[in-house]
Amino acid sequence: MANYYTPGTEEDRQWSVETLEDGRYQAVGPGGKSFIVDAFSPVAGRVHMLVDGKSWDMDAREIDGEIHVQWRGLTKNIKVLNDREKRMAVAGIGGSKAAGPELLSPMAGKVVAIKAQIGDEVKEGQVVLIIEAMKMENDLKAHRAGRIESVNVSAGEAVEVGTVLITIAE
Amino acid sequence: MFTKVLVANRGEIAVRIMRTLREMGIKSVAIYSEPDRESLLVRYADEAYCVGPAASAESYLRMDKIIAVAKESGAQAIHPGFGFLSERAPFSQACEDAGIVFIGPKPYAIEAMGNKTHARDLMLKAGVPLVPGSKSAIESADDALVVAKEMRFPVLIKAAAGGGGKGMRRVDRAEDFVAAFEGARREALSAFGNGDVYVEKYVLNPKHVEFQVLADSHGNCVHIFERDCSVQRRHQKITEEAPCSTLLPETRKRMGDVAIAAAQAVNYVGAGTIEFLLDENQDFYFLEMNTRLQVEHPITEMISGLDLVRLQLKIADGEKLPFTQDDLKARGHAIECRVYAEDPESNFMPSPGLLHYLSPPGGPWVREDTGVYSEATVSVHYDPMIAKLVVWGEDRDHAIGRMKRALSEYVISGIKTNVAFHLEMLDNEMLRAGTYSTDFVPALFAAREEVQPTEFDEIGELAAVIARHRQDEVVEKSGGSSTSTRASGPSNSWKNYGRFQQLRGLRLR
Repeated sequence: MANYYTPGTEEDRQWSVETLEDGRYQAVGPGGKSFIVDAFSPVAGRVHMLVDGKSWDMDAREIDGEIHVQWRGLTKNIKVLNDREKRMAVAGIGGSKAAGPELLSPMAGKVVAIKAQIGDEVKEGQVVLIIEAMKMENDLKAHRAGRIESVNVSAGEAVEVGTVLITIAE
Repeated sequence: MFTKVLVANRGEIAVRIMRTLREMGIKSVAIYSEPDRESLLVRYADEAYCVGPAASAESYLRMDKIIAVAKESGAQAIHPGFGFLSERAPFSQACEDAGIVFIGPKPYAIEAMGNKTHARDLMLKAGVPLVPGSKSAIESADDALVVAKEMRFPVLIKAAAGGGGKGMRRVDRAEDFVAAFEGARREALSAFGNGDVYVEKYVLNPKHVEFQVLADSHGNCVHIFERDCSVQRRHQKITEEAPCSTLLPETRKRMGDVAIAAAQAVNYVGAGTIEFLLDENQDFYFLEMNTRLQVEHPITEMISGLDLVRLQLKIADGEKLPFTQDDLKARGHAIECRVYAEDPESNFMPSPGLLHYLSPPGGPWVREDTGVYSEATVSVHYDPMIAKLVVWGEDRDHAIGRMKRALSEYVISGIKTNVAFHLEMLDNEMLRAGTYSTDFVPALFAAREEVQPTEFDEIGELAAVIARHRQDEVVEKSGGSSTSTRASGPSNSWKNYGRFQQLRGLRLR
């Protein structure tokens, strides 16, 4: 018997799973609902489940700490913690970061224009930068309201995913 | 017929062209940029040569290098695909000068149609109906604003050398005009090396309907019916269908005749497309001519049974068209969905990256044209299109049902795609009725209702938990302690292998 935790609206949702035999599991969800699951993996990263006679052929693979589940064109990215990881999260190790002052680039590309200067007061959602990626210009908006504290890139500069573009002080 | 042809393009279209070459017993030569070394086109080709680094200007647009590769490899012809050099008259000319056949129109036809202001003048003379707009490129934003106010908002700012929605902006209010004008100029300059833009009236609720034309070098020209490409986001097409469900037969006849007249006005040779706006009164206006193969050409192939690339090759080789207009019959209905690496929920932001797994759909009347594969990278340097999914059905409803089935089979993991968005669109009433216009995508977002919970919400979460449980079990069984890092899909086998090697080492000692 092992416990797992998925993100809920307020508290994490707890699941418990027991392996009945190889490939057969009993899972109990947050509401106490119980599932008998017959599962196998046809190829790494895919999982097929039979649940109460229903056939679910899905993709379920871990990418960047989340399990991406895909079924008939629909996708869900779910972070699943086991008991040990849950304890670590409670202890504040590897916990989620609060939204900081940094506006990070969501894409790799080239800065074509900067629409704000140091000291400017910006509103949340206001366009502060334009980045060209894949030959299209994309407006990047302030992730929060505040005063521009620093502009860390210049027009024409190439940026990667996660590059700090601008910092906004509250 | 040629025995070896160079394909001066990348991605899915390069592979699609090479497939026809292989069918015809013609050897294919690929050119590629450094980051495309591992791309499907290089794997598929008979020969492949690197022509430079990632930036298109230093690789896929290097006419001199590409022609040198053609000469050295002994290719007799170059197929330019679409985009890149396909509509550059100097390239067509350079091929001719080098004694290599350019599979496309002659330089003068590209030039005449490539500059949109020039094309407008030509079409006016040929009696082709046009949308009201500025006759030539405008340099100053203030002058352009005056023109825009005269024809009344909304207006469209378009790059003179443009295509594919780049350098194109719709403006609804005078106060937004100057910023949009400058943005369009900048985008046009970066995408085409030419910042000229012009302004035209934005026709409300239009459909984007285009006609495929095919002309040989003996003066014969036919059209192979129309495509409805009204479903667009950011002025780029995402879904196309043929035939257009709201086009009346008599309008089809008139538009077809006009399309042929437009092509003949520039003595066109090869495959080309005449784009029109069709309004609610079945009035139509010439937009532009694309002097190349289109992205969406497969739907025409589906309803006509023809291979347009094969016909392009035959025409380039000097053959006559093997049919007349009366021989051509459209059959059934075809739909194409462009699968993009992008996030429709964040304004269609590109989402390049590592494609962890790709499993394409199959089954009756489904065609998937792609240039990627599992564990390939969708590059940040080029277009975010991963694949084109095309289906044929006996009628429109049949085709829609089949497309939904095919989309449901598609598995693309690791990057965000628009597959779910395509499914949502195909369920939309406006789309099902066929009455949608080019404003369809924003209208769909505006009319969106709250998502109803589905069985997958619960089962998907269960699947994640079960998958995680199975991973943890594998780690336990393989002797991984509970403090080891998390086991994950493919890398898990490597971890096990590493542990196995360590154990073996210990035993040997």
